Amino acid sequence: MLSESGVSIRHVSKTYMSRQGLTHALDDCSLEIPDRSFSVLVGPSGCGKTTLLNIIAGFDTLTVGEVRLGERIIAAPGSPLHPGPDRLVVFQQGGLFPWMTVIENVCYGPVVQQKMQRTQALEAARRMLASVGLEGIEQAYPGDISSGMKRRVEIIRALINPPKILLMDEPFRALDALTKSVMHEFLLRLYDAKPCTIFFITHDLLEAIYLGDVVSVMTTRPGRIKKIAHVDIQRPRSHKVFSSEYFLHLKDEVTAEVHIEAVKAFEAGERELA
Amino acid sequence: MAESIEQVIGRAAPKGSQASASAVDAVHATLLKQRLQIICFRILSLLLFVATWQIFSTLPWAIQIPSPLEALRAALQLDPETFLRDIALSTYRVGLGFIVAALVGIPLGICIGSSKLIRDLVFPSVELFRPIPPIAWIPLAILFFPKIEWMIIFLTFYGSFFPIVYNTVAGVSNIRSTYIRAGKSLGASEWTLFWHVVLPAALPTIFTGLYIAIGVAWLMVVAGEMIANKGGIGAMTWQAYQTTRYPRIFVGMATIGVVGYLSSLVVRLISRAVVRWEQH
Repeated sequence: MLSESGVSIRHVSKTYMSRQGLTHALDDCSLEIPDRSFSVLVGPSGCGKTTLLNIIAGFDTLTVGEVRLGERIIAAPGSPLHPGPDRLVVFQQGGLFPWMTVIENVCYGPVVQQKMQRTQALEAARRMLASVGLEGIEQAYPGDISSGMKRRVEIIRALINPPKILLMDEPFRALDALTKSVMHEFLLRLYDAKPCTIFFITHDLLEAIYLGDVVSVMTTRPGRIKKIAHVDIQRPRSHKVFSSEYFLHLKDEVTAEVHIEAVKAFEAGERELA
Repeated sequence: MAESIEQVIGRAAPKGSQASASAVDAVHATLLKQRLQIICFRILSLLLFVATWQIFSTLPWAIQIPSPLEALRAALQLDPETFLRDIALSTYRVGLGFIVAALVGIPLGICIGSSKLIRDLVFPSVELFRPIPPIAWIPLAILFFPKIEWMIIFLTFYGSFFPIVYNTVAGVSNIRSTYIRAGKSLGASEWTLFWHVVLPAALPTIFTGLYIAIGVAWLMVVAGEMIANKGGIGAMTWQAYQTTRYPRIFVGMATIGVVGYLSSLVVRLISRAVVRWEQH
């Protein structure tokens, strides 16, 4: 039933040693991310969302269970870490290389994987940047452009490869409200133009429902999927959906679930893991 | 204040927008005023220094201390050829020790910073030597090296070595994991990851080490030359004391100050050219 770029997370548990002792980050967590779907995962801070994303990306190991990309097992207990260009991450703190110009950042993947000649990759990168209105900043260093632009460039740096799944770890968390809404438009238009599989982590419920086809709620640590809400809002989506009755209803429903978990997390003395 | 007028105006009036000529003039005027003010303060600072020196040289118990004017006269009486040769000799000793320290220290720092095995193997003995001030090595170095010249160069090398190693280790081991992860995901192998990610990410910190190291190298060359008495600015300063030509002491000190500053400046300029992405 899975096609090539869907991800299947099956009974994944993750336990690790930390300064506080043994930590159960994930416990029997299962989730299907269908091919070309926009899947959003919400949950209280420190619930294991990022751990799950890191396991899919190949940055972190799991203790029990397996993760498949298509039919291929990409994570299993004891298997070595294999990050790769088929699963690219847009990082919470920003992952552009500050020592490379914008264009060098964007064509880095194709060049280092030797999928393209340098001149070819430069041309492709320039075209891709131009297609999303980012011309004129090719020779700038990431330190010289705005945070919103950095985010867009980072997304383009991932999409040029192209990955089978795009993993986004609270990518807009550090942005101000206006920039954030610009980024939402940007991401939605990209997705409308060429749907790819996206796994998006956030704790902003409005963002989750506005962007996603499916919003999954994770419990407080140890993380497990508690509720899956399907968002039946037509694409292309616009700001108008924020005031629709369906949107508000769905928001209330999900808010209730997340709130319970947030309270639990608070009572358990979980600290914000920023 | 390090930005040029064009940069400031460029920000005030980005391409396409039309800033009025009077606004541009106003920005120019403000910048010019700020710049003049800074220059005035800097000159004032130097004048204050000379005045303080003058006062100290006239204190009743300080009759041996030459006044600024006497120092200037002594500078003009120097034989330019010997003077320049001394400067060149000291600079050569600093440069050689510093370059060898960089060539050995940076690769060693990278190895220590990126491999736990090498860190456990090498660091304990490195830590053992660190608390010993480089100057304390002088007697042993004299005994060890058959030529006094080698002793001086060893001292400049040794003084530069630790700042370079320590900063390289810090630079390599404190790289944000995000960059490593991004590099690996995008398809870099271990080797390319080193050249494309680890090294550039560590470069700013490595240059901080080089900048500190060149200062320590000058400290060491002066100490070494004063002991060795085989030419160089340190030897010149010490001889001025021994032969009671006291105004010359100041000439020597000032020269060390100026040449030391210039060599730090060279390191900083190289750093700016290499670490282009950092805003200075």
